[in-house]
Amino acid sequence: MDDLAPGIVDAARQGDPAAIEALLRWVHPRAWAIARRLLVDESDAADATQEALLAIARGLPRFDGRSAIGTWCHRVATNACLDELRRRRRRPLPTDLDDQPPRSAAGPGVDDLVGDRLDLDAALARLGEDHRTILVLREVAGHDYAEIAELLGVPVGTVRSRLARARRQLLESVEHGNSPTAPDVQPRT
Amino acid sequence: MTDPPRPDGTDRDGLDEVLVAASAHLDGEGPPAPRDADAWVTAAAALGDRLRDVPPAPAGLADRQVAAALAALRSETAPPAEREAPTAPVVSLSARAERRRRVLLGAVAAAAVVIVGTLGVGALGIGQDDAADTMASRPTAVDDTTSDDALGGGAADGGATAESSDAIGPRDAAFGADAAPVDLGEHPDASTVLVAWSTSATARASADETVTSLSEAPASGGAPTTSSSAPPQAATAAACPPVPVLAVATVDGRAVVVVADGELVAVLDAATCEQLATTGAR
Repeated sequence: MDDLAPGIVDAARQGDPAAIEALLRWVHPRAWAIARRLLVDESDAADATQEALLAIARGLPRFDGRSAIGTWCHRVATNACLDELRRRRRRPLPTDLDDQPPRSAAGPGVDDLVGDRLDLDAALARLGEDHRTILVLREVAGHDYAEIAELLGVPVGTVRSRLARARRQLLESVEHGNSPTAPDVQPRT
Repeated sequence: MTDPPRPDGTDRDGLDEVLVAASAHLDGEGPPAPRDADAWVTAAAALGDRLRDVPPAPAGLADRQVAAALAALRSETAPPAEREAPTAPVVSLSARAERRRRVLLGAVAAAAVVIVGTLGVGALGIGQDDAADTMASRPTAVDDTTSDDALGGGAADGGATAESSDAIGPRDAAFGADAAPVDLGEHPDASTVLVAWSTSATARASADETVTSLSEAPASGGAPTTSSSAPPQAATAAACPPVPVLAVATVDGRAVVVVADGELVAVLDAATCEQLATTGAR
């Protein structure tokens, strides 16, 4: 989280509209990335991103600077996404992700990139919400285990084991379960 | 809580402790994992790279959303005189929010029409009891209602705006308090309940308009379903605020209620009062 011009945060906290706009533009791709991965559906991600921007704009006067602005914004964006997840928990995730377009036979290209993304989206959608959330918080939002534990209200040990499980399941799902991706580890005796 | 390790080194899902250690090490949260996990760590790291390669936001979304956030902030921090006339971007936050807004405006407009119809039918009903008094009071009641700028605009031409919906809100709640809740039946999710309620309200509004356009009310029977024959109803759960219930339905077998609260129309879980959906722009 960098590239934010010096003084922008202070000016934004004091209500300078230009500084707030600069901050929100800086945050947008980051908030979008978290929302897109966590919610999978683009419309949901757009809603959560909008909520995150509003929450950040409204909360700036309360930002005390104890954490980096990027960390704080990530936290707000993550909470917006978690709120969105809670609101829409009863709505099923899109199921047409499995209807993937045919992959190009002419080697890597745009079709393959799109196909890879659909593969990953479908695999993410198949992942349980708990596992998807923890994986995105770590891999996309970049939160450490303690932050994830605080955000989700679970012990750090749970974060640790749940994350490993999420990775294993996603790897297996991306490979369509055809090839085991877990290490060939002999059980310890 | 962390799953307790089992004697064979796996947890209840067969997740090996080595894999947990490898995952933690990948995140810099643990000591190096055993070498036999190297291949898995490499695969997991590559997966992380793919996860971070997020499809970009649709073109123009950032511009629109930043502008909307700034407009919302302006409207919230502006002096009251300015706040009464919010700028358009405040209510055009996203495609989904825009759909919600349309549903809200349609529902509010329909509710406003129903108010006119209910008041009209009510006046006609009184006329059956005391014809002379009714003839004097009925025009007043209708005039009082339709002379309201916001209500008149929303009901008459269906062109209710976000600004006028603020003024209509309390009347929307009053409509709910006077009307018998409509049973909207079974729905797959809360959002379709809202759509069904909006559709139902519009249909009932049309029926009421037909009745009020007649010069004479039916002598008996044929009363519109939205007449105030039923007592006011409130959300039944103790945790729910005492807001009027417009309709009842079930979602996945769960009882829900449609309620009006100011400018918002929301679907609540009847047992817990959890808000499941709302038509109001947040």
